[in-house]
Amino acid sequence: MRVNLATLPFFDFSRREFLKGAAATAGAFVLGAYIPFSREAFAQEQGPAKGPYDPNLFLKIETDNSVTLISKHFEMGQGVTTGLATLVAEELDADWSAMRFAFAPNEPAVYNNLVFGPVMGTGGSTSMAESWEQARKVGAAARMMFVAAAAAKWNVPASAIKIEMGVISNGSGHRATFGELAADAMKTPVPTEVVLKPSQQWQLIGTRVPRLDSKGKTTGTAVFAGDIRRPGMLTAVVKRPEQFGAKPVSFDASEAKKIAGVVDVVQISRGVAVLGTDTWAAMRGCDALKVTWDASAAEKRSTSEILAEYRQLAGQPGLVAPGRGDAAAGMARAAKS
Amino acid sequence: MITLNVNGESHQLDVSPEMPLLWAIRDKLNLTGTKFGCGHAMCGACVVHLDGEAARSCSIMVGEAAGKKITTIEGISGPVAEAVTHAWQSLDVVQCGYCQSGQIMSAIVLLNENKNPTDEDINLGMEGNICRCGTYLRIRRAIHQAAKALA
Repeated sequence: MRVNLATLPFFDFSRREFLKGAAATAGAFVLGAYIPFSREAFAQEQGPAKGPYDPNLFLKIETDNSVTLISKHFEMGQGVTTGLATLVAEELDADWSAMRFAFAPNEPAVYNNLVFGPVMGTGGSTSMAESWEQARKVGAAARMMFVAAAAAKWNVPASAIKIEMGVISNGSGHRATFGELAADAMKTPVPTEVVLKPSQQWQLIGTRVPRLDSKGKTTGTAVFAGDIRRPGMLTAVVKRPEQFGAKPVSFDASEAKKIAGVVDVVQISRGVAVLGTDTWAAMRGCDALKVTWDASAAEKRSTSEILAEYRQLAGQPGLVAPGRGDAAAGMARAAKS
Repeated sequence: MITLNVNGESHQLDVSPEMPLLWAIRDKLNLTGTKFGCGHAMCGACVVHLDGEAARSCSIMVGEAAGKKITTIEGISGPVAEAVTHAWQSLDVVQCGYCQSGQIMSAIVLLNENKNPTDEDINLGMEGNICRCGTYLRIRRAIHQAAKALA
């Protein structure tokens, strides 16, 4: 039997609906289960959709010369904030030590994942690939805007302007930092055509740069999902079934509600949530909660049964993403050592 | 009311003395650098210093911590803390970063007690701090680097 995720109660939504639902409240971290989707998208002959590259949407350059990349992707340790900033800094000719990052607000129309959008989503190893052109265009457009602003200010031709390590100059006395010219530059029109650096000129792409998230993660200031605080926010702790896919039938919250700080108990599709004024109250409420489960549709196979199915599946032909040329003939002709 | 001394400041908290210190720190004082990992003192994500000793805040009650000097990742200072943090940053130890507050808190105590730890000392001293990203080799390198910087 093939494992059909769609028949499990956790996955009773289409992939796109899931992504849209997740994006409606916050960005989506797309689970590995959805990788085949992005692979199909990558296989399209025309490549992923083009995204906006207006630097005003993706960069914040401040008077202290810091260049903040607005990251459309979640940082989960994969280094995506550093990666996206590298693309921007390369084209912008920024000083790496001035690069920072911040997370984009919930604007799927702008911060769309170009592979599986229109949603904000990070997953399936799509981030760098889908941003590869867009983020470089952001940097290149911003650079052109700095050049235009400097040329206008100093009354020199744009061809006389140089940018190196975040410093703009015209080679004959005029000099300004990004911070000094940012307000002017961001007001100039976003170029409709941008030219990207040829790879031979790359100074950052392909090198190892210090991670932008090291500082926050070594000083306790990095904000993880569980660190978000909002006024009046409650904390929910969910009591879940012991069997994957079991559903709550009924619950008895009388003991849970006696615990100081427990505010409410709410049944959700996959369990029962105890809401408390703090985590400890919600945890104790969860311990005191009694739930009756319906395990009729739950996963009941053992680990060894599932492994046996995987082995059997592994012997079958896989999904074909792109199909170009004749791989088998090529392999047959290839030199072998 | 319970009085907690956290990072040099005194806080009056209206909580049960049985509340785990971790939740007082995170939910009542909003110091979110200290993380909840396992809740059973097994993973080290919640390590803080109690009078300079490494302590797992998920498994220490607020009542037990009262009267002690509590230091969280936000409040570390001094040459050892600086050397450790600098080494962590210069070697890009972190990946997801979730366990790293606890790793750093444990590393500081290790270096306070042992100025020149061997690989084996580090393995033993850091044994209770789990990293799912598997940054252990860089953690070890960073502790050696911090020890060298302090020598």
